[in-house]
Amino acid sequence: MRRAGYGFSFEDLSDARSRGWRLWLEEQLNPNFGDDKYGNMVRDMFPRARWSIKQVRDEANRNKERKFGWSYMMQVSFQSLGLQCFSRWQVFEQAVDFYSNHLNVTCPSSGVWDSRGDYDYFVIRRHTFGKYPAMLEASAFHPAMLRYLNNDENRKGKPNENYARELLELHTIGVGPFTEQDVKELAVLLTGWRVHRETGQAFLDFRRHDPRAVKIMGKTWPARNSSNAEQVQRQFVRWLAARPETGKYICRKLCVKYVADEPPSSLINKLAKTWNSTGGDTKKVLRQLFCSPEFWSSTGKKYRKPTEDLSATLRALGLKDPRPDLANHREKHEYLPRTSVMDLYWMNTGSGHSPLRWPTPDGYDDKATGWQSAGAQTRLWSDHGSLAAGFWPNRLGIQPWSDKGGTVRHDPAHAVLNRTKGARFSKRYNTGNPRTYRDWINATTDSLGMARLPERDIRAITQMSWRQAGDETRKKPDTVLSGYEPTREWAYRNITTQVLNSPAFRVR
Amino acid sequence: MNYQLSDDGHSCEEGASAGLSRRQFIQAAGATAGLATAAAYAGPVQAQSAPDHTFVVVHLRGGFDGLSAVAPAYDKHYMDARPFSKVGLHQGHGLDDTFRLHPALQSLNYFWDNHQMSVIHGVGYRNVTRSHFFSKALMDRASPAVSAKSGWMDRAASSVSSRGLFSTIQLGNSALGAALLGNFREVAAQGLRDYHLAGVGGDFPTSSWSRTLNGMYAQQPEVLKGPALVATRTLETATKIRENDPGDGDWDEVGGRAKTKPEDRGYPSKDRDRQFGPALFDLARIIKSGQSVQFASVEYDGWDLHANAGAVGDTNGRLYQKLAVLGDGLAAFARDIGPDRWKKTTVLLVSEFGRRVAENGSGGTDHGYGNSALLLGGNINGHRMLGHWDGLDPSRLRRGDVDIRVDYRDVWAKILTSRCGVPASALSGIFPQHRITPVDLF
Repeated sequence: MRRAGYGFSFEDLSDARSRGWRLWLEEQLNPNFGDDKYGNMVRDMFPRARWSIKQVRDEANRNKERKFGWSYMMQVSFQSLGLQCFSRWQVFEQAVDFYSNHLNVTCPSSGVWDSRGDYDYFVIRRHTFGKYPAMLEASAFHPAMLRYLNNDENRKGKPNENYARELLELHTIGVGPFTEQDVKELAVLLTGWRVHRETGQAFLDFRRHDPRAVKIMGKTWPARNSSNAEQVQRQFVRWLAARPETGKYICRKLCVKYVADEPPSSLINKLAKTWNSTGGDTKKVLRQLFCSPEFWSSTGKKYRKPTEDLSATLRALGLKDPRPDLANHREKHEYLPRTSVMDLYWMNTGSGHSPLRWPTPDGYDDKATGWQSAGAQTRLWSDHGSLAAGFWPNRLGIQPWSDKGGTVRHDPAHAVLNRTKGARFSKRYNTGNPRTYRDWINATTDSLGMARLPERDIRAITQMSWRQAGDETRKKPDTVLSGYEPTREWAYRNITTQVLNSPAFRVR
Repeated sequence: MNYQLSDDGHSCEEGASAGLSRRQFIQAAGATAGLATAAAYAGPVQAQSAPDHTFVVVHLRGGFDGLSAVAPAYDKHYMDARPFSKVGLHQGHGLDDTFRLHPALQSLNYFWDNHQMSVIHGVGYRNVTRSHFFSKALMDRASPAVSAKSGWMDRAASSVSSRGLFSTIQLGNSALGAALLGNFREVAAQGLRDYHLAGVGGDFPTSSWSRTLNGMYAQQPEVLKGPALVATRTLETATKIRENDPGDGDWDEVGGRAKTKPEDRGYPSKDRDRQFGPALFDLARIIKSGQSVQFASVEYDGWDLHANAGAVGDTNGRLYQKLAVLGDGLAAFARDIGPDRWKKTTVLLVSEFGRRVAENGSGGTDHGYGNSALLLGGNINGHRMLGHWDGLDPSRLRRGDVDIRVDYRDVWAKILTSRCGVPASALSGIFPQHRITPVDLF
């Protein structure tokens, strides 16, 4: 669950445990989008994300300021993060994330002000559990990709090779199997596409098409006339997507995402074989990957990217409802129902990894060395604290509840403490459960759905709980708690945060 | 090369030996905390000991209107092109027989008159388009490779020895600008207050959090340990800076002591954005604490004034107010860090593109191309008009824009080599596929 999806809540884990992981996986690979209460809440929060190009254009014509406006693109971005964090179908969302990065069209960026949501739905999501050649074909002639990699400016006599190069290098066969001459020839083959100024739709303008025959990677594509030019172009893209080099290249990338930064070549070869024999069936390849012994024996080799960390934190803390707690918030008049998800997006931007935001065509790097840094690490630690304490986004939908003293509590960490099995905390005396610091930290990890921490980490976290400097050496994991300790100064909140900060939680 | 804090006697031994590259520094920071480090980050980095100099790049995002800031007030074509927003002959501060400084920038008059400010004309990053997004990304990366994963400031910082934890920073925006993108992205922050963990306070000070974190991460693989240990050191150092010089908005409890507001030190108080002044205030606090800052990126957004920018004399106008914050902020910063430090500081204002020569029909200006840039510093031999100025005769313009005659990369290269100790041999790596044309700056 950690690697196929985004992590789990306490309930998810017991659900998957009781039914077995194969059933869980099958269900995840065949998502029923109607049955996704919280994911659909996110969808309802950002209705513009599903507007067609025509709807965005019509709105822009009604209201001039909306032209080239960002609110539509931001809704697409917010929705992507919201679904990664709250959707029930996390294996699907992880795969969407993979292909969004693989065929990256940065959002927000000015060329796709009217089409990025359309791209998200009709290129990425529609084909994520489908066939790759169909996805690649859809992306190649979509206005968003045409604008983003300038193939809409690629015309007879004035070629623009940007898209041709990335199509080979990033989207299909990777660096190596092609030459500069192939790029030039491919650019010629793809000439003539335009995006209509008024409607924003893509179309092939044969007057700008260079119809001469071209030879690409040893195969000759015949001269074209106005009736078959588009057909030949589409045929080429599907041919390219079905090349064995493409299968190998993408399967390697999948292994880097799901298995290890340096994945075993045995697995890559196996997957590539399936990819080629099924015509790029993404779901079959994923299923084989998750069922492979290499996947199961490589636990602990991947670290959570900042977005995965955020999503896992929300799930571990039991924050499964994306709605803000408007009824109980003082400043409720200021906030829209979607405020929490938007705040999470900006939190995620701070750690450098908001979905769809990577500025270049290659997408976010899946290797830890590509994003791990002191800055990102500081942000993640701080975000754990914010979320556990309910500081920010302070309107995130944890149901408020009253503790025994009648104080209304909003902080998720308190809920974690509260669901600790059989634990009874008293302000005055130790009830015997948990008895020691070790018991307390173990109870917290259990309640977060994590494995127990190693002794070293338990010792380090125990040292947090002391009053005067110098005292820390006296507190050992086996020291018996004073009943006062967990409730003092929000100690439980900080302990929960530090458990989330532990290296164990960074592992996917 | 000791970046000792002013008054607590706490110093970082790992950084004390000169000649550590930034990468090596990060490794060393890991090494002291426990184990020998894996050589994951070691590269053949030619570290050169860096001079004690601060290069501040102010990123004016959105397209800065250089033609308003430093207005060619005596150019007939300027008067024709900007009937509404032109700087009149009686307004602002005369710089020479062509240019007048915008009246909102009056705080900078002193710097011009005292040879601490120059203006570079016709400057820009060649090949930018009219798209903010594309132009910012292109300029910050300063590399023709589409998939470049680092920015020019990061590459520049990697070519000299690090002078400590705050040697390369970004303030003003917590999302890191692409100029600093790289393998060792520094903590980008809205301000000094952001070098802080949520939950710190009371019986749980930064030191107690970081001891626990160090304990948990000390024996992890390098890819986790390296950044984690640098992060905890940075947090602790930032906390000490704030305790010694508490500022408005800091999270720390300072025992009832008053927290200084930026305006108490002369930073602009009439500031709707609250971005630029507080960022410089924090930068000054870091510098004054004794921390060495080699490269600072300060972000100031919102220059994309297509409409209702306001007339020059309108002190409530949007452009007037932003320029006033810019000028007053820079002047306050120079005063705040003091004359000795100001002599070791170079400030360059850059923007992704200039604005169209002709104003539009909505009281604003649209996206342009070439621009003018301000260069400030206590020791820059200023009071000079640099770069290239052709006048605004329509035949001299590039599709209605000022043309780019000086590339930013050449300006940066000059500052890097003559002020920041970057060896000339490193320039080809910092600005790949760019032939450096020498420019006259100082």
